[in-house]
Amino acid sequence: MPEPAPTHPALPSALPSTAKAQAACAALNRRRQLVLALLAAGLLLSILADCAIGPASLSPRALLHALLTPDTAPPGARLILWRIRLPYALMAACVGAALGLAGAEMQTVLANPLASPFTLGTSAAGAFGASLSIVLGWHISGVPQTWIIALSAFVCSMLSVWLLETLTRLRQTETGRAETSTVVLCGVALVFSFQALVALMQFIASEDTLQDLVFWTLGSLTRAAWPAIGLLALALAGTLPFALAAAWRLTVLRMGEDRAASLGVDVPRLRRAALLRISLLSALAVAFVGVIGFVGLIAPHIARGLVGEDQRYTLPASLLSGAFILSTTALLARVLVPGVVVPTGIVTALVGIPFFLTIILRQKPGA
Amino acid sequence: MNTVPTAPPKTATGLSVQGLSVRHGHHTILHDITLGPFPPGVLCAVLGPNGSGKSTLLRAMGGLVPARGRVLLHGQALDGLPLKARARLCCTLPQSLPEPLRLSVLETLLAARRVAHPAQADDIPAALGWLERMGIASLALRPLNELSGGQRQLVGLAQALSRHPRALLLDEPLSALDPHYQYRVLALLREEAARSGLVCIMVLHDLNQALNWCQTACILHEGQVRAFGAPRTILTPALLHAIYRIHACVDTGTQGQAFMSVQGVETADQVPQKV
Repeated sequence: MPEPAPTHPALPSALPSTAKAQAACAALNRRRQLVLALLAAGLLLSILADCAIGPASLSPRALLHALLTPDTAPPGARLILWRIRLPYALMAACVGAALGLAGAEMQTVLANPLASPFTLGTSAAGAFGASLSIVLGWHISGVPQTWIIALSAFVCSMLSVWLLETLTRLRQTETGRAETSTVVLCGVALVFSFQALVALMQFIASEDTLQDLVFWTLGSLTRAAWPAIGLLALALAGTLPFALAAAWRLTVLRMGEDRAASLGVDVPRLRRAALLRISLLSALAVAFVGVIGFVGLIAPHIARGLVGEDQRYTLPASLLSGAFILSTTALLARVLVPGVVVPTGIVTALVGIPFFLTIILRQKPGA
Repeated sequence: MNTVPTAPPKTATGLSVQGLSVRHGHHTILHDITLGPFPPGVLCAVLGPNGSGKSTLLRAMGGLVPARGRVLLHGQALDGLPLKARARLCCTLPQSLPEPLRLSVLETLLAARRVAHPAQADDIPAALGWLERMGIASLALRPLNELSGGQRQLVGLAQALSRHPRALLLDEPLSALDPHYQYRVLALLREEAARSGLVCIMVLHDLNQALNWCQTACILHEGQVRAFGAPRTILTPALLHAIYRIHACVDTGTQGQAFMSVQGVETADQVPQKV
């Protein structure tokens, strides 16, 4: 056999030296860290703005005074900030963060750019679980009602992701990868099923509980309460380390399920663990504020655009983007119509649909 | 055509399979295959027509599909090992190309290494070394989604090689490459196998490459082994006709290289058997 020629016409001649490649990698990672820091700063500003702006506007100085030294602050400002504005703003940030993280993991483990708790029925299942516990009036003595609603939502969300996984496994291709359309169609079936069940709950609910239920279908932050914020923050703090620990495996999974398996990743186990985290996060988000769509879908796309697909950076970037989006949307929902707080779910849907269409139109045919 | 010509392997070196069966639903893809050993240090080919079970054989040997039977690498059973330990010994390169991600070529290699050793620091010089040997070092900092299919295939190969497995199972590793890179990859694999005693088995469609580059080949047909041995010995006109439905024979060129000369192809569809 003749030896291959040493050069090839398609090859550019400039080869990067080791030092140059190392410097480039370091620069890239620094850039990603900077993006994360900017996102966090943007989120903080947005939360502060959310606290300051409203019918009774707080000046920045009054805001900081009431925030940092509440004991000496005027009672009016203190009450507005700690009872109304801060819970609302923090709840928006926490729910956005939960949906952003859940969406990023979901799009990776289901290998689907349209995956999110909202589009594939996880949120609808959570809403059903929550309404079920309200309508049937479940309560255990000594356990706060919030926790029972959250638990019921979690169980139903888990059921929905398990159903989704099982249904798509039934129609997988020989390489083990479910087709995009299968996942989406199964998800649509789940959305409709659980929405029908939520409607059934509304139908059999008494007039008093009906009002509570309408709140879930609209998605609203106005009932934000400190225990719920604490629980959601706890869930985020509990799931994020596990998600980050799986970051390398998730990065490799993005290259294809087959390839990940050939590199020694136990893909079914990785997927099960991720789906458990996803159902916990989206169920808690739904249990406390109702169904809020599109944040979990859009945030991962923004994160990938900003920091690329190294999941060590993509996951936190998606979390922060989700929090930032929902935080600014929540502000928008309050100032859009003076004196009225539009349910946030309505605003995110209106803002999210153009993004959703963009994602669909940018997909390659047959992908 | 005689039936399965292989006896259970006697030597312990190399990769061999015993009684390997794979079913997909009610359909049996591999029927009780006993094969080998594929020797280390040289290139080995898996040949056969479309749908004969070549990919499934590789995936079953690598542990990527549930299979019955034994897979032995240098006498050690791979089938009982956990996936991670198995993947460290035996790396299966899938036929699909790496997805076009916004991830640089270098990061792709580093991530593959970090999955096996999450605590180790990035070994950028080693990763660059592999890219250089593949002839794609200039692409190191480019994202995968800007590369062509062939370039992504080379990245996938570099990813597999950079993990230093003891057996490498490659599913059509040359399918998207131009002739330069096809022979460059073959030369690199042959050199690497000889240097490190790697067992290197690849699914090939180009019989001339199998004839000239591979020392051992197995031929699959309808989920069964039809022949195993040196390609020049087993690729007889009768076998080529039975398997590929072509009229062909293997000739020797002026410089000693073997090449197939094809006289014709059977295009008439096989008459369906009466039930």
